[in-house]
This record gives sequence, C-alpha cells and structure tokens, in this order.
Amino acid sequence: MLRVNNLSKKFGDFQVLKNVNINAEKGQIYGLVGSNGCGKTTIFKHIMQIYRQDEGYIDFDGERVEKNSEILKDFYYVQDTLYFPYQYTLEKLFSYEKLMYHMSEEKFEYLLKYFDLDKNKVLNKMSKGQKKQAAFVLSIAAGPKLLLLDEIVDGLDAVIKRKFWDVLIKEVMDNRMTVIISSHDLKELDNICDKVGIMHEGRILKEENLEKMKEDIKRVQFALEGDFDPEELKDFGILQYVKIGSVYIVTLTGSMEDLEKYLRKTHKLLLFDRLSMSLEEIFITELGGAGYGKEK
Amino acid sequence: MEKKNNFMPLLIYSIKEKKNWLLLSTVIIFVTTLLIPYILRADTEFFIMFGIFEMFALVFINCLVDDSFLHNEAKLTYYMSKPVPLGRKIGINIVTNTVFTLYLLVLILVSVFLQDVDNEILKVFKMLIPWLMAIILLSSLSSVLSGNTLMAGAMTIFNFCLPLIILLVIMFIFSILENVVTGFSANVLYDYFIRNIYKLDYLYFTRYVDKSIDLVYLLLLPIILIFIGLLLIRFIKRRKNENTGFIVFDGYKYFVAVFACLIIPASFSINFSRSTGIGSRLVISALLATLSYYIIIAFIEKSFRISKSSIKVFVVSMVLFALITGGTVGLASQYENLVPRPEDVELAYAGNQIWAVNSAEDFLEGRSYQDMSFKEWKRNHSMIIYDDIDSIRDITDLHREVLKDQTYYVSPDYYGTGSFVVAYWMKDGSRIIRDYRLTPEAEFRKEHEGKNEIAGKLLSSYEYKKQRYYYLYDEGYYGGRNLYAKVRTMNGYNTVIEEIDLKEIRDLLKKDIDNLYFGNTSFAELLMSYMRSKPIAESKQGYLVEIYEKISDEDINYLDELYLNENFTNTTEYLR
Repeated sequence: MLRVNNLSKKFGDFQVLKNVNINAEKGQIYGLVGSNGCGKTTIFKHIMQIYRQDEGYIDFDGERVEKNSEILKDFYYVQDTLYFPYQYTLEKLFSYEKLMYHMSEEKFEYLLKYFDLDKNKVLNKMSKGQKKQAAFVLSIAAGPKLLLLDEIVDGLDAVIKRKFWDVLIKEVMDNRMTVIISSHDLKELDNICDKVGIMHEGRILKEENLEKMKEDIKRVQFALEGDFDPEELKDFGILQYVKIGSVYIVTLTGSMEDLEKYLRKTHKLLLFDRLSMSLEEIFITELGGAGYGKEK
Repeated sequence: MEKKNNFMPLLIYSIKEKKNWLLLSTVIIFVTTLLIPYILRADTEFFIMFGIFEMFALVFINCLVDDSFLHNEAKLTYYMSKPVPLGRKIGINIVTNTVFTLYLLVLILVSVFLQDVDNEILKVFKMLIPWLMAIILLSSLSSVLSGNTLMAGAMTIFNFCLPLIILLVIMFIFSILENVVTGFSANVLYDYFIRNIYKLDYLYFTRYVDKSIDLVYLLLLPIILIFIGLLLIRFIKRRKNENTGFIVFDGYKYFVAVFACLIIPASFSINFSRSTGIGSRLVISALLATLSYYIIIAFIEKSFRISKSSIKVFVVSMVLFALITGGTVGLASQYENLVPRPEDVELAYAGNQIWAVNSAEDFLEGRSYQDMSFKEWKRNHSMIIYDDIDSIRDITDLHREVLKDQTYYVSPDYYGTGSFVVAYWMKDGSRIIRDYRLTPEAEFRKEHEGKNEIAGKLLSSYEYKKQRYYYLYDEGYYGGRNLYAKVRTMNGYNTVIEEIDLKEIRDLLKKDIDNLYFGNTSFAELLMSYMRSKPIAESKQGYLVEIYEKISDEDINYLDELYLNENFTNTTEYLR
C-alpha cells in the first residue's frame, strides 16, 4: 500500500503542502480531488521523488520511498501536461521505455487495437485525446505496482473514458495495482474510485472510502408544519441547509435517524426523505465548509 | 516488475539517437574543411581551424540540447519519473557527447591528413582535447545549475572563463594597489602572479601547444575533470527540481552576480589606472559594480525589485573585496621603501622599459627558449643589465633618490617619460621589481641633483658603455667581426653618403662617447637612452650612423643607429 505521512512542502515562502496524509491500499483506485492549485500534482511529484519533501515521508509496501530508491522502478506517472520526445512514434517510445520497464508487448499490441491507435504516427502530431490514450497505453503496458494518473480523462469523450475505466479496472483486478487518479471530472471518479481524498489549499480535508464518505455525509429533505429555526439542529452536524418553498434540504454528518426522531418529537413532520449524494456534491460541501467558493 | 540495470542499453540507445547529428556534422566538417578549400585552392590551415571552431560549436550545442530536459517542466517530469536517476541520465549524455566529440576529432584528423596540412597544426590538439572534455562536463554542470537552456549556455562560458574572471578581479585589486603604494606596478604584479602563483597556462593547457605532454599534463587533466565531475555530482544531488528561474541555486546565482558585477569596474579600473585618480576611480568602480549587480540580479530573478538577501550578499561581498584589497595594500606597503643591499644583488636594471624587464625574466627563467647566452640576449634586446657591484650600488642609490622624490628634470630638448623601472635579480633567486610613475619637470630643482649625479655616474661607467656600445667597447665582441657603418646626413636622410669600415671611426666614436656629459639631464638620458637626440632629429643637423655586421655578402645584421650631434666633435670632423 501507499502511505503518505505528514508530507509538507514550501516553495519559497509559499506552503504548498501541509501535513498531507494519504493511504491507498493495494488493488485500490484512489481518487485525489481538489480545488485548482490545491497541490495534487505536487503530491504526485513527491511520490515520484521529482520533488523532495521538507517534512514527512512516503512508504510503499512498507518500504521508504526516497530519491533513486529501487522501489521507484515499480511506479509509473502519467503527468497532466504530456511530454513525448521529439519525433517519436508510439512504437519508438515503447522501445525506449522498454529499456527501463518490463513492458508487455502483448498488452501493448492489444491496447493499440482496443484504442485504435496508430503506433507509427509521430506522437506530437496526434490529437490531445490520442496523446492521452497513448500515454495510458504505455503506462498499462509497463505494468507498474503504483500508477499515478494526473487528470488523464479530463477533456476526453464519454466513449474513450469508458474504455479507460474498463482497462483500468481490469488491470487493478488482475494485478492488484494501486492507482492514484486525480481529476476534475468528479462524476467519472464517482463511478470508479474506491477511496477518495479531498484536497484544498495543500491539505487533505477528508480521506475516506467513497461508500463510507457517502454514508457519513447525508442529505435529507423535510417539511414541517409551523415555524422552524435551523439552529435547533446544530447537534446533528449540519454542514449546509437551504429552504426551497416549505421544504428544507439539509446536509449533515450526524445520524439521520436521530434527526428524524427529533423532528417528529418537536415538530409536526410532514415529509422526511433521504437524498442520494454524488461525489461532486460531497466535494462542494466539503470545500464549501473550508470556505472555497464562498468568497464575497 | 523486475529491477533493471539499464545504463548500457540506455547509453547505446542514446548514441544511436545521435545518428542525425553525426550525419550533419560529417557533412559540415567535410564541406568546410575539405570541399571549400579544394574548390578555392585556398589556405587549408585556415579552414582546418574553422573546422575546429565548428567542432566546438557542435559539441557545445549538442551538450546543451541533451541536457535541456532540465529546463522544461513537462520534459523534466517525464524523464525524472522514469527509473533512471538524474545522475545516470546526465552521465549517459556526457558519455554520448564524448563519443560524438571523438567522432568529430577523427573527422578533423581525416581532413588534416587528406589535405596534407602541416602536421604542426596537430599540436593544438593537446590543448583542444582538454578544452572539449571540460566543455562537455561544464555544460552539464551549468545545465544542472540553470533553469533555462540559454542561461546554461551562458553559464558554461562563464564557468569556463571563471579562472580568467578571477584574474581580472585580482588585476582590479592590483590596479588599486599601484595607485596607493609607490613603486608597485599592476603589470609587474600581474606578471609575477601569473608566472609564479596563478599559472593559467597550465590550467588552460596553452603551454602545451608548443611543448610536449609531460607528467603535469597527465596529472592535471584528470584532476580538473574529476573536480568538475565532483561538483556536478554534488549539484545533481542538491538540485531542487521545483526551482524555476534562470539559475536554480541561490548560492550560485549570487556567486555569478558578484563576480560578473566586478567585470565592468575591473576593466574600467585597469584601463584607466594611469590616467584617472584613485579617488574618482574607486567611486566610479563602486557605482559601476552596484549598477551591474542590480542589472544582473534583476535579470536572473526576473524582477526589478531587488530582494533583501541580494542586497545583503552584495554588501558582504563588497566588504570582503574591500578587506582583501586593503589587506593586499597593507602587505605591499611594508615593502614600499625596500631597497636591497648591493651585496645581495646579482643583476640590476634601471631604465623605463618594464617589458624589457619581463622579457629578461623570461630569458633568465628559461621560458623564452632562446639558444644564446645572456650577454647575447642583452645585445639583441638592447638591454643594459649590470652585474658589477659599483653599478649595482649606483642603482640602489638612485632607487633611494627616487623614493625620496618622484620628479625629475627634463630639458625642453628631450622627450619626457613617466616611468622609472628598477629591477633587482637577487642572489637568493628572488626578484624585486619596481615601476615608479615620475613627473617630468622643465624647471631644475635641488631635488633633481642627486638623481642626475648618480645617473651621470652610471652613464659614464665602463659597464654602461660596454653594454650600450658593445660593438665599440667590448673587445670580446669586436674581435674577428666584419663591422661597418653606413653614414647619412640628417638633412639627406635617404641617401647613404658613405659606407665605411667601423675601424676607421671606432676610436673617434669612443673618444666622443667618453667625452659625453649630460649634466642636469643625466637622469632623463638614462631613462631615454633609446630615444634621445630629439634636437638632432628635428634640426636635421649632424649625421646618422648605422652600425652593422656583415656576416656574408647577403647577410647583414644591423646593430645600432647613432645620431651624431655637435657633441661627437671628433667623429663628425672626420666624416666631414
């Protein structure tokens, strides 16, 4: 498993990462989501030891990840701003990477067909989507133990995204690969991630299994007869509330059952329904709690 | 995944990737060093030298291109995310470029041999090879230190020239010293420093162009390369890839800024050391250094707002520079009034020719590689260097007089000079060389008396005449030679009126020279012995006598020219 412990980093006077903790299990797809510039890419670069942390440490399978350590050979990073060497075709880049990884030729050929990619086309002449597919194909063919995908599906069409997820899920299932994926497309991550870390301003605000996170943060709608002061509900961990007409919509971390009991006891409850919450809604709620997007 | 040791496969891959460069370089070198000179039937050596220049350019560009991945975030992230440590990646680039350089060297050698160029040109390879090896390593080092490829190129040149920049800064200190401590010359100190302490000819291997490779060469080259290599390893380990900007190491940034900001004031101070007063020179130098530092820092940091740490570094550096300069001046001041005991001196010179003293130094130290005796050398260079105790005593006395007063009398009939050079080669092997800036004065004063009296003694001494007019006074030289004199009148300068055997006028000339008396202008005469007789040259009176030795009918060796004025009564009477 990957364990990032109290990772902190300053760029000059600017604190980019503040005591970041990440725990991703073997065979898990971990979604790293956060506001723009919150430090997701910086975390990836620390995991790959491109940057050196000021404080904290990183472990993978119990082994400390340090600059030039052997364990890095089991990591593969696909960055958000893709780079391919000048005039390289996918086949040539495959040959080059073969000198560093045990690339699977079979997997490579299979994925080329699956994504319908021309291996003899110069990579820099490919479209943005094709480039992402090419980088993804290479990363899967390398068969790493830890795969870091930085905004890999952002800007891709739905069909390609689906293909990406199919391949990724199969790889994780077959090889127990750990995948850390960052994206702004939270709906996509909602469908694929086992665990999610929500970042804001260099901190991990929340890290949880997605299902657990959805259980922890609930949204209910209810209607009451007579007046109601939302302050009454402060003991139920209310994160947000809105009133639409006579219906209150509340996001809370406390017990939904206790809330219902309380409302029935203190008011005449006309309506009480649980609403499902997407990752995107959880994300907005968490970041809203941290003041993001609430600036005047 | 299994672990792979991938150095060799990656190296072979990297060398294969050079095939386009190899092809291009082959075409460039062959076209410019073979084809063009063949078509033009031109000087092949020039084109070979041009080919060598191209080779430098190709190697330099290749090194910078290969390490340019350090200066682009996406590229850097790509390569750094691969299981190839930065040190290994740069090592592969260095080995690849070394192979590329060897290939280019072979191309140049093929051109040399195909064109049958004088093999002397190959001597330069003894210097070129260390330069190329240093450039390969320095460009990698500079790329690691820089955050921009163009800056890496500039820093490669800076680092390569760093020993020269340090020398310039030292010269800056010497140029200040020469204004503060009487008798100390920046040029003399520079010559001493460069010859005995800061041996740049070894460091840059320039001395080996005309010299065979020795043990020093074989030891120094690996030492220099290992030193650069160790620096490279150290900075690779310490490089922070998140740092952006033209230079990614703060320490190195300030190092460059401080040294670079001294280049302009140093050049100014050195060039104007004799024409500008020390006070104004120091003020201007300080202003230029501050301005240069600000511009350099603003450029490197890409901001017109200078940081507090930059100001601190500048202030500390300038204080340090002032302390070093002050210390050097303080040290030199202790020797300001030093005049050696005549008994301790082996050879002494008094005149105005600092270059001649340096030249004598070279000869005595065996650096000028001339196969002749010191006596012959002195004759050939018209140098008068005394080894007799009386003359040496006179020179030390004259030296003391100059220390007391730095003016001298010059009659309007003479050209003035600003320099009095005194040099002692001591018996213990050390040297004392002083260069005094003197003020010529048209009015004779009491302070000039002592100098003229001692100079007069020197000029009338047999030792002086034996060296100055060796073809007359040195029996050892005169005997058995065919010496002649061509006589011209000063108003018919282009026509030789008579060509006579020197024997005819030797005794007359000696008699006239023995009678020469310079009186109040003796010191000026001592300084100006090679340019005297302005009145004759301008009045077009008297004779010009050219003394020469006829070695054979075709081979004539000119020894001296004498302007014979009214003081040469006996000779002019004879010639008339």
